[in-house]
Amino acid sequence: MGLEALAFQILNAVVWAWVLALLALGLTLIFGYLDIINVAHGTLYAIGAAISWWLVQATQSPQGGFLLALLVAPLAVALIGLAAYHLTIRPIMARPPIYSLVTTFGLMFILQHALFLIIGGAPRSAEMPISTLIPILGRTYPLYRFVMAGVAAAIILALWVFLHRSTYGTWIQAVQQNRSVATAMGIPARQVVAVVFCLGSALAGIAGVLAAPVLQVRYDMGIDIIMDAFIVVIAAGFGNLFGTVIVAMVYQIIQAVLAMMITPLQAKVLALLAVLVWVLMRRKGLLERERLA
Amino acid sequence: MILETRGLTRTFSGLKAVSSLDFSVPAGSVRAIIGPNGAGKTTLFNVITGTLPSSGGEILFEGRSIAGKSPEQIARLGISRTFQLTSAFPELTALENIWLGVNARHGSLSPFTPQRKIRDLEARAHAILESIGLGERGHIPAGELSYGQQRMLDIGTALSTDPRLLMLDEPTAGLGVKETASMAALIKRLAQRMTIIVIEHDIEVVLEIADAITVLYNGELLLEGAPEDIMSNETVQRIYLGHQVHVKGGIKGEPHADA
Amino acid sequence: MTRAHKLTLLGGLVLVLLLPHVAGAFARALTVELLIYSMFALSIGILYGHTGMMSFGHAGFFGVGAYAAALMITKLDAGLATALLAAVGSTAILAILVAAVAVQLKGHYFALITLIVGLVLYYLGTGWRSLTNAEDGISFARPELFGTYALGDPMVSYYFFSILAILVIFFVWFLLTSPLGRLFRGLRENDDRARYLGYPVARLKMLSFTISGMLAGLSGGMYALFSGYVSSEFLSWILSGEAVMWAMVGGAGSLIGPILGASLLIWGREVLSSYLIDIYPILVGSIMIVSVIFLRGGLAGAFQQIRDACAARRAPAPDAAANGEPT
Repeated sequence: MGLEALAFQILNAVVWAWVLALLALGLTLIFGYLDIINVAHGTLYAIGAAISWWLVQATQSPQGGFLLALLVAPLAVALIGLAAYHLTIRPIMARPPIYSLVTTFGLMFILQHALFLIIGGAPRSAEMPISTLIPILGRTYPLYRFVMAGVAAAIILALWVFLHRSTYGTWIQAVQQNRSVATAMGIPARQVVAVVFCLGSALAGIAGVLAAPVLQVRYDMGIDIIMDAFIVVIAAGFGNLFGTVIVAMVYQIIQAVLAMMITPLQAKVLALLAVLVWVLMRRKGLLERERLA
Repeated sequence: MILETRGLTRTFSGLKAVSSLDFSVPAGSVRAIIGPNGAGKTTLFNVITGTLPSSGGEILFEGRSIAGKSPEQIARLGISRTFQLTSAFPELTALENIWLGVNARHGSLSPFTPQRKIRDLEARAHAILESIGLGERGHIPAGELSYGQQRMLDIGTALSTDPRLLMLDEPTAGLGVKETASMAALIKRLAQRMTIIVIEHDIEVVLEIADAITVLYNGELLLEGAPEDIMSNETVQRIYLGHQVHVKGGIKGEPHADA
Repeated sequence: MTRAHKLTLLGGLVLVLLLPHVAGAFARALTVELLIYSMFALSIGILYGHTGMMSFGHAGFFGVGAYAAALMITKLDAGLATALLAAVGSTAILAILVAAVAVQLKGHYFALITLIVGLVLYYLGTGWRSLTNAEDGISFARPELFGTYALGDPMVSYYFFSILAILVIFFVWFLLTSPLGRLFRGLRENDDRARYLGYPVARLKMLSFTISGMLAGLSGGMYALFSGYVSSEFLSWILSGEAVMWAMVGGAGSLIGPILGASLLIWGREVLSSYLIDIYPILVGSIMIVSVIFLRGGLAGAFQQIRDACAARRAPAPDAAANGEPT
């Protein structure tokens, strides 16, 4: 395998990392600000992808369907997220975080099987909205992949601006840091919490829409990616925006490089182990022994 | 000296919570540590018991260095402590709470422990429960005890490992008058068997139980001496009232110290 | 071992021995399944109900145990005992490796790592076709018991597996009511405080995880040997979720809870109408959510509360056997 093949692998990795980062950011938003881990996050992504595929089928237009999906999917997924939040998370917010893991784990069962009942078990293909191929390094590469990464990057940037430069973003940070004081200051904390959850879910939905033309849309595509998303989030630290992007990038590149030499499955397992080891050696705040009396 | 620190320092991002502290406690005595909030008292406890690593200096227990050891190791060496917030095993009974400590010291992990040994350990646990006045309440889950009883249980749990040094962090916090008196009486009884270091805010309790008092201020050792001398000391009174104090060549202010 | 222990063991064995006289083949097979899955549910009970650590990937141990037993037979022509030993040994090693890393992490990170490990094992199971034959699985002939009795004979199979399961469950009960069990519950309640009593908390958690993993692995091995079949579905996260559900519905913190939960829910699955079977995962998820939100302490906990309420005039029961809230 030549250097060229390696370059393409890395290109794919970098391009895909943006989508993974977007998904991971939805997760980290919810945990970083709400102390909730949504195990069903990957399933929301699958739902977003399914919506995109369905709209392309319904409108018979890859471009129209895609654009419509970019609007509709985040809204639909956010609504599902809102319902899930009220039914499975609000009732146990006062309890230790482990319970949200169990209820969202249960949620994953429900959502994934519902999706299975709706779109069936067979993989579906969604056509790329942009079919142009551009020449790179002597081969042709789908322009859409760049667009996909670009849109993801733009949304991530917009997210950062929203969180750090807008009033509502400040409210979100205030509620995370000290909920009772924030409420005393007039910030509608309960609404903020719900909004953050919906926002995080919407990000998963958008990631799904972006990913649909590139992957096969399957009802269980959420499981494949949730493992990666959790690894990225744990390694980068919950709540760390740019760190998440960087870790996603590094993680994907490691996999890409390893996949040149061994099977993709083995590459994934090794990359995972590598990240885990690094996490344990370097990441503060994860370790038990730092708990104070 | 059962416990000695030399030049002990603990820094949090540039803030010296404990600063070059030389502190020693003779075996068999009761030492009270007082000082306004933020003086570093609990941090000192945390560093000694291994909760936090020190940022410099030595800690010697019975002549051997314990700096850098983990809380488990330090507990096994014979130091026990309580915390500002009650810390029990809420759904286990009071007896089981004590039993855990007894088992740590005298028992084993083997599930095949003979019944005789199990009964022996439970008897020891029960004896400790009696000595802290909770003998009748052994079967009640710790979480269902009253606050005062839980504070007592904390002491009992700390005693259950047969410590030679007992470190109590504000044991009378939140207790009523009668309960405070019981606590003070208990500490005096215990002082006959072990060395005790107490962080306390209640001056009457301090005067009743302490052999000597160490005053901490802004992480540094301000004064040390006999209770009557410390209590009547003007500087001590002023730091509690929040006035600025000249200490070792620098001016330090504590605008919001609690009295 | 107290008299109560000995009587219960006897009682369980008697029940098992009597069953064939009152029930037919289907009930016998179901009983064995219930017992084996109860063992699996108990492994969650030990880890979560008693030590306070939640695992979302425990099917990984179940599946590894199953494959270890099966592959011992198909590749190395091993006997029954060796196959079972392989199931226990392989999962012991796996558990130690995972625990060595995972117990250092705080609660929810620990749970996430178990989820990831479970998923990785599943992907290995489905991806490594040459070894595991993925979802199609491996059918194999079961070795003979003590060299003479054929496990293909349903009665032999029934007696062997049900008695073995009872013995294992009894041993688990013995463990949980021993000082070690009390210690695990202490770790669940306040592992920090346990540290200040001198307990090597990380190592104890590793011990709990290893016991739990080995139990799950043994149940997987037994299941494979009982059915003569293993597939990558044994590693699936759905099974992991079911195990959590069984334990939580029944009441993870007691001994009887996971057994009750597993038995009830598996029996329920058997009698589900064909329509409901189609939405089984939705039911699993819903039950998990409902039992967490409403059924604190599971069914066993509810029974305990009723018992306590009835005994309110007498001295309260000394041992609270309900689900504990991990700190």
